[in-house]
Amino acid sequence: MTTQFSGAAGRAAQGNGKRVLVAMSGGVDSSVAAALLKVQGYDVIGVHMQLWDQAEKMPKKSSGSCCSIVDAGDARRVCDILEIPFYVINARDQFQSDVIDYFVGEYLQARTPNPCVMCNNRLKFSFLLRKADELKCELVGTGHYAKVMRDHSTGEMRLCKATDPQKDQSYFLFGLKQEALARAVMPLGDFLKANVRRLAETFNLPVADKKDSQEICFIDEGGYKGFVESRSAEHNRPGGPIVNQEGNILGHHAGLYRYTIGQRKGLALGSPDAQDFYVIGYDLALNALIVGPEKELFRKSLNANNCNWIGRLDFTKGIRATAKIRSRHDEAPCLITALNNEGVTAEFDGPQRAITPGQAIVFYQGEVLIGGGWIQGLTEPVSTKLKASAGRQQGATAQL
Amino acid sequence: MPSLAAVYLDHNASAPVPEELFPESEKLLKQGFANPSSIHEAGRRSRRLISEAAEHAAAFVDCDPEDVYWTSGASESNSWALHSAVQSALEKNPSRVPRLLISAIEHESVQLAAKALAARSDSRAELHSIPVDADGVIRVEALKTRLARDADWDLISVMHVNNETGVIQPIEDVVAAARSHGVPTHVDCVQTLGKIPISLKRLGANYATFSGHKIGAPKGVGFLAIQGEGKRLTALVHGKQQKGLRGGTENPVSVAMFGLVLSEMGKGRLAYPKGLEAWRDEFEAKMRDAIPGAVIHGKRARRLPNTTYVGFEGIDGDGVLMNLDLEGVAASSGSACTSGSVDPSHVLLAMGCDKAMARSSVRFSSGRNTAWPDFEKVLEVLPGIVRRMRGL
Repeated sequence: MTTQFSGAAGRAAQGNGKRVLVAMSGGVDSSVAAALLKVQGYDVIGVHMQLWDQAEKMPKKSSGSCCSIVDAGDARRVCDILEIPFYVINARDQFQSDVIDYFVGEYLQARTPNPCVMCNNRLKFSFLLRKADELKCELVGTGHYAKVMRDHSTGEMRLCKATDPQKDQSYFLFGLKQEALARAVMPLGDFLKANVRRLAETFNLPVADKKDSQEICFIDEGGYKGFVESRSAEHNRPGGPIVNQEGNILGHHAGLYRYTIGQRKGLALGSPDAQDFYVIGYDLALNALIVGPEKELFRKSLNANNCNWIGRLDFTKGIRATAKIRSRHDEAPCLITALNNEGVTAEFDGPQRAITPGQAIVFYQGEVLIGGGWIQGLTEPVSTKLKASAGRQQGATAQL
Repeated sequence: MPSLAAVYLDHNASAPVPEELFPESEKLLKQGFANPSSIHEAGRRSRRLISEAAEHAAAFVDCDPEDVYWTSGASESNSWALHSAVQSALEKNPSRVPRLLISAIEHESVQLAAKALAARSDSRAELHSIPVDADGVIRVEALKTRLARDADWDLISVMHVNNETGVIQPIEDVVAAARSHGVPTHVDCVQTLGKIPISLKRLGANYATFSGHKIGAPKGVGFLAIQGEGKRLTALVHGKQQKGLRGGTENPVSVAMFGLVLSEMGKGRLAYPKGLEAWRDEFEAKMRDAIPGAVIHGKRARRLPNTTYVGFEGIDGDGVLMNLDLEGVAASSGSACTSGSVDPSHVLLAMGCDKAMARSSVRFSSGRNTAWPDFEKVLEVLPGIVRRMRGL
């Protein structure tokens, strides 16, 4: 039987028969990415990473903000239609150690993790690159909305924002090294999401009407708290005091992992003055949650480390850029100053709301992503005048 | 992409329907459509197909045709045998905990059925394991010692030939030892059928499991043969068919196909190639020459002539299989049933292999249509794949 795919390789020379391993979740985006690459003349192999034990209940079925965990069945059906080989690769151990353990560990240190970035760094563009080597694949293709291109003047790879600003996923890819970028193909970078859906229909892919979701793929409606609780010992998430910067105890918290900077709901503060207080910081030594009025959330300067720079940059005079401090943050102009090898300070022109340790800060110059790092904290951290003894006492009470 | 593997060396997972049986299959599709329980001639014709198949099956494995119970395949047969043994123990004494002795290398369908019986609140069966040696052979002496000390078992389950290693088990000794202590036995004969002659009457096992698709019948048909004292079966699937012990309209076409394959084999047709064992030995020798550190599992044991199970130190067997597939060679890692998710083989772990070695292992199993060039093709591509993967 001849289909639109059986003769595709002969029609287009772009891929030139290069073998590409496409990471297939079974969602619309990676399915269309595979179809496009096939039509462009690549030798496509579909691979689905199995991230969970089959016996263990899949935490959630959805197409996620950056990728999706769907069962392998949809990906397999798509590959059948595309007439390409399909393999399921066991990535459970890697996902556990590089994403899940990291995710839980960050919360236990009162940081707010970004597992999608970590999944791209460690799974899709590290683990999967090794699998690509095993299968003699020059390239790894994904359904990310971002553009990868070579700068012919420097020979270096560049990572740029997607054409569709609503879907741009470059933020999640800041950790990719030159070697990974040189082998990455992201055919959806030029497309609008609506067109990708239309393409899925054109290609007769059975995933065309799958819905998008904006949540972390492995967290279900129960939320991240239950997830963290089921994967950590109780003594690692003790309760403690909720305090203001002046050192007054305003309430109790049931574990710092339950709170994120900028959060107002669920604080249950008794004092009438504190009704519109927000989480503005932590004191890990005291196990204290620091709250305050909303204006305290607005800060201009942060430190970040474990940075990755895409291409050579000259930090001697500082670098002007725009930055996102979380995936859905409007880029704001800032000056980047190098602290040491990997660490930087980012000084924004204007104050930014809820700078959150554990999140990624990603820097752009226009459409080009120049690099990013992990937010360690404010350059001038929020503190409380609470005495250590009072904090511990309160902590003990709260645990009862 | 090759549409069909040019080289198919995965017969232990499933074998193709022999092409010479295609005309007969078409006839059976026409003849066997009716419900075998119906009173009309068409129904009687379906019934006749099933009865004839039972005769062929019984003749082939040497048991009584009325003791052949058709099932959906080996997994159901295995589950059914274990379930029946436990139910029978509970009927005799509801307050005693049923006890099962299962070899460490049983197929997952046996292992999981036993675990399910252990987890069930009304049976809470107790499970114990029979160890194997480094070549994957049941340690009969350990079993005998255990039985001399403690013979209070409701079933001993040991497979005739292991599906991963192809290692032939001392099943006669196992059954004899069990019988001398009055313990019922179940033998999973899936990999034996058509490869090693079997006489259930002489063997004396109480339950024996067989599957059709490993020898060229369609998938979805198998049987459980029972014999000996009590002949106890308790229904798992309820309905009036098969003496009320296995409900569900029988599948006359598939059952008849299975019977036909057995009947043909009984007449010496559909034979395996004569050279199988010599090919395997040459294949293994050449592979070990070309690939340093290739370990043939069960090498020193008696094995089926069609199975080579080999580990490649330092690399992932799944990667090898994918590369072979891309070269048009179909092989598998031990048990194909869990394709995709690769846990290290429980068989290799039971033989004392470490997890890395277990994960690196690949099984080649030949069959009726295999010829020496199939092995040559593997020898042509495999060393390069392993070398390249090791170099990464």
